[in-house]
Amino acid sequence: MNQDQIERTLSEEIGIVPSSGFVSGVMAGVLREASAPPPIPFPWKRALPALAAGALALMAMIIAVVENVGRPTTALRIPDSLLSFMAQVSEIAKTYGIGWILLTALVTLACVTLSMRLVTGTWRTR
Amino acid sequence: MSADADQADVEKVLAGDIAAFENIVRRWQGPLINLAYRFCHDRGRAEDMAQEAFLRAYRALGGWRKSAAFSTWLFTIATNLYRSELRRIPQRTISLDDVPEPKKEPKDSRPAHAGEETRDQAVRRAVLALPAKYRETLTLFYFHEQDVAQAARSLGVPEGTVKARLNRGREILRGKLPQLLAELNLRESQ
Repeated sequence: MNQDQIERTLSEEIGIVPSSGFVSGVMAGVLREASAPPPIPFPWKRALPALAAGALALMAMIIAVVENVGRPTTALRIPDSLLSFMAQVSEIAKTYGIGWILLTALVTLACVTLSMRLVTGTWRTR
Repeated sequence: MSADADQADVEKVLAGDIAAFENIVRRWQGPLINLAYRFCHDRGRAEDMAQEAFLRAYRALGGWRKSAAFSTWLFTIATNLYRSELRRIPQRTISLDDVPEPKKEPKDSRPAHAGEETRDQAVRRAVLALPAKYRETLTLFYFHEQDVAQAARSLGVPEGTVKARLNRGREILRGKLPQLLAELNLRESQ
């Protein structure tokens, strides 16, 4: 079989005629979509304090880690008041296990993002 | 197929006239179903996938940038959907052994074009057996009447990638066809 025969077969028109109910089926779906209530937006205003607290806790954890590896804190020239505040935040973070919660949240976010990319086909293979 | 008509209908839909979307569906139902059929080789599933493609297009209508033709945008949405659907639930590929035996006829009564049919059947089977990226590229290239640029836009890859995949896909096809043809001819001659 030569290349021309392959080309001819592949470029052959298929010509499937849509079934009679196809347009009405699509329009029923469109009307359903149009009449559905709009999706609930993510409550950024409510989530903002929690996100800020999370970021602070993360900062405190990083500082605590830096302290633990034995770097001289004086070299960082951080004011004492800020350090004591950070220490308090770090203590709270340790008490409530905020580090673990953040880690879990990050892993969950990564999993959800990856799954959505795979499902929607935005994950491109080249 | 008029680009102006598409644009006018899109504007109507965006302005709240949902019924105008029906014109878009009527205009593009044939191409979208036929493209889906090339991907899945199942008429019912092709209609389901095309229906979902239209719904996705409706949801994303506000995001159509008029710099690209409406048809290009619509085909890109449809292609992405068909590819992901086929990866989620692959089409059923029938093994040669599962194909029912045709009724035996005397050799003289066979139509003259029987050999041609066997060849076409072999080519289609060989395409189905290709790795996804070559199969999709070949499918789109021939659907778009051998237009590399349009196939590249639908796939969202550079034209060079399409050309490379076409060459490799054809090479694999040429390699597989003799064996498939031999198997089919053997079946016919029995």
